[in-house]
Amino acid sequence: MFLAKIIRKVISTEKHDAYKGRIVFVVQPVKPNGENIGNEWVAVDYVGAGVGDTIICGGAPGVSKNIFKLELAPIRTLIIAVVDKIDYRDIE
Amino acid sequence: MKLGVVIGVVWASRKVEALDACRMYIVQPVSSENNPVESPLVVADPKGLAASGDKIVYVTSTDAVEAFDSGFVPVNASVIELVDVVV
Amino acid sequence: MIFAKVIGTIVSTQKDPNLNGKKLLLCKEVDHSGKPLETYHVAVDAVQAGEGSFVLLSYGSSARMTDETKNAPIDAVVIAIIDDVQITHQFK
Repeated sequence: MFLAKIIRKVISTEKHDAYKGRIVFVVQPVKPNGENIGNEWVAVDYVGAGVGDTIICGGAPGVSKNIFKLELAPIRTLIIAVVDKIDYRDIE
Repeated sequence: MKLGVVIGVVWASRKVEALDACRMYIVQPVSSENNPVESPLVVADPKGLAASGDKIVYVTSTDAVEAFDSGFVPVNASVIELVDVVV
Repeated sequence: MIFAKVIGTIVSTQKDPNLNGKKLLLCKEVDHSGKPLETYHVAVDAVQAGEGSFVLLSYGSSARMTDETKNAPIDAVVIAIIDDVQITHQFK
């Protein structure tokens, strides 16, 4: 799992059946202090998140199959939580 | 999943049976601002969604196999969405 | 999937029984234009490729998703012989 920020929304009409009716976002992985880290990912929403939210992204292979009750689920990255607050102390 | 743009086509007449009638593309991963990131990769298109020049969402690793109806194909990346617009 | 050139075959008598009757190919990774890169792979042949063929390799758990490689302890398979690679768009 990793921390990320939702930066944009992807709109599409032609898609795999497993994606019908699901909201897809572009997310930017971030450090706990909010700095960007690495390249963007695309993730399927599972919790009702919105653009601007800090979120937890994750999901192991096969997880989306279970939670969406699908036989075939080519879904790699899920938004599994919206972060309210992070308590942390960074180490050098 | 990641955003990418189809920049090329791979033609192969002899391939694994499960991939017959499935086109293969070369995809350049891009950021949401359309800047290239990482290096291009080969992506299968099981549902026939994409064409040259299209912006797409692709999925990698084990989940790429799930994009096929059979769920039993040797692929590492699959197209799963044709992007209309990123807002 | 990655591009590769078949540069040799590998002969082995003592091996896992699931590999019996399968051709093992020594492949060198190349880019889309055929320019060799620095990585070598040993892959099971699923399409009767020969030495010198320009091929497509699938790797990782997906490599076991062919009839030839089902249940075999392998992590790379030759899945296609490439006729041509067309670059239609340039990113500069």
